[in-house]
Amino acid sequence: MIQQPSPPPPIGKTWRRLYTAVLLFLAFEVLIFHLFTRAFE
Amino acid sequence: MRTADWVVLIGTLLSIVAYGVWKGRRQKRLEQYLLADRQLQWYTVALSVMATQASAITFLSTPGQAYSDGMRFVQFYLGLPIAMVILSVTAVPIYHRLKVFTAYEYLEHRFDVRTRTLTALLFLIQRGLGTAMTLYAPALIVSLVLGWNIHLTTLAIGALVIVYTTSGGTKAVSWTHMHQLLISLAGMGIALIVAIRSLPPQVGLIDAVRVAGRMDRMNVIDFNFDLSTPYNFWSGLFGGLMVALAYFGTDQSQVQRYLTGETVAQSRLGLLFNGIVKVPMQFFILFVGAMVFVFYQFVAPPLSFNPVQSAKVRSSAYAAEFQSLEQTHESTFAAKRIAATNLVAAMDANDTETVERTTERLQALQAQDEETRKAASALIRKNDPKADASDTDYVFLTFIIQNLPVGLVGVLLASIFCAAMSATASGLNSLASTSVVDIWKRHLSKEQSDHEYVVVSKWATIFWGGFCVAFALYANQLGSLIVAVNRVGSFFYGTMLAIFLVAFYVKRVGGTAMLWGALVAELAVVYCAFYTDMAWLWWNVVGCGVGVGAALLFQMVLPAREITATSE
Repeated sequence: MIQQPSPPPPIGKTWRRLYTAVLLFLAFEVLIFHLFTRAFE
Repeated sequence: MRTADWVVLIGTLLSIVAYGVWKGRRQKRLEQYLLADRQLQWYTVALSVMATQASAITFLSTPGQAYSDGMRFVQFYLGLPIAMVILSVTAVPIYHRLKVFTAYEYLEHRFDVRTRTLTALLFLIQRGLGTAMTLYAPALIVSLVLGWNIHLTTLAIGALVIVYTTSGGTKAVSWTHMHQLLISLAGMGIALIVAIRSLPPQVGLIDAVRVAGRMDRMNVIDFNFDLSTPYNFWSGLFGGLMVALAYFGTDQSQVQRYLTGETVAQSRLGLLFNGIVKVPMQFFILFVGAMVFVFYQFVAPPLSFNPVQSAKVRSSAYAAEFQSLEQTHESTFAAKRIAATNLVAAMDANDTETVERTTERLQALQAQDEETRKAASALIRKNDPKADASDTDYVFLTFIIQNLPVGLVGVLLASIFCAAMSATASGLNSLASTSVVDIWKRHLSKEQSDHEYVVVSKWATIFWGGFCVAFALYANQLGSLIVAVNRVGSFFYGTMLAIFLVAFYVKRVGGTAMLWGALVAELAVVYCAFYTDMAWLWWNVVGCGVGVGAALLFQMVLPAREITATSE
């Protein structure tokens, strides 16, 4: 596929950073859920 | 329902319809009508994507799921944020660059018209039946609990949706989605506050969470790899990723939502916002269900939450048996309430020994009560073999009707109807788009003016609205076939995902090989469905795997495909 440069996102400066932020947030959620489960089981 | 509830319910729904009609007025061009002129900002795209996925069943059944099985269902959504990133990288820029109206239009650029038409037809079958179920399922639950006429309920929801979806097209659908989702979430917030405030004075929020945890309802994450359990971290991450990729990447009801973004960036931001917010939103809805569970540790729940089936058994030959179970249930509940009260007191006093002892007692009573409820379900099924013996879907609505103050019942019902309308509107909108763009305009009438295509699109919306309402009205008589209809999406999702995966990532496979690969994949799914015991979620994996593999094999024996500029 021909990759065309896309304009940067309004936050995070680059798309790569924004994607990383979404995935890190997922990891953070999993961690919080794990702690939540441990705390209340 | 009191007058105030009716006023709130009808007022909210009519306001939504009027707003949709007003917002979508003066639609003259096809791009305007089907894609809101590709002018929407990321927040509209995001909320529209979320409202499309969140049907009334999400708000009715998910709390019931937490009530009966705890919060582990949230893990099903763990693959979704990853899917949002993958689609933002791959699908969104391709769809935008080619300025397609539907996802299937891209398949003609990449393969050929046959693959496009086949995929569009698969979509029309599964989404047509799926949208009918989106109408039928909440109408059934609401009419059973409230004693309403199911036909009138179905007709009312269907007619309201058809009015603004036909009149205002995608713009009306997307803008009403924003308000519908906010109303639905506000309704859940109200239910949560009422559930917590209705607990005994000595039971606070933290106490309630701790009681739910002791009763195994705070089991959010389970890292154990076990193929036999439907919801754990691994099945959520990998299975959830597959389902989310198929749903958001190949289903026009979702693709159409982010095709309305003004730029690639707006569409991407809409999807990424969904990736961030969806998991906490599901957690919140499940948490409401867990709090309703705690509420019913202190307030007596019915033996079965399905009032119609309970009434049927009470007037049947099994009445005495059912009454005996009700008495057992009541005495177990009385013991449970004492144990739960003691548990809260022990936890507040940091009395570890009593906490452990009382927890064991409460868990034993809960297990005993679940056995009683199972026996009641068995009686219900014995009395009426076609009956839905599971009452999970009725838990939350029963809680609303019996415990919310006047006025707020109307708000909650409005929030459930808003969710039903939002998912149905997306369905009708996408069915009309695919029918007109991929079938009518492509095969049947290529030379009409833009305005004429808008008129055809409006008639297509009315046609699909009529089809869904008619099917939903008839669904009541389908009995066990309904289960099959509910699973119809899994008949086609795997194959559709295979087609798009090959389109995006395997350049050397051409249209003919893909078409044969898709047919083999469908045969494999049909074989699994009718000749094996395989759980239906796995049909998606089989369809996708066989589709990709067969397409690659067919390409090896067919002449090498010609790579054109548009197919890149």
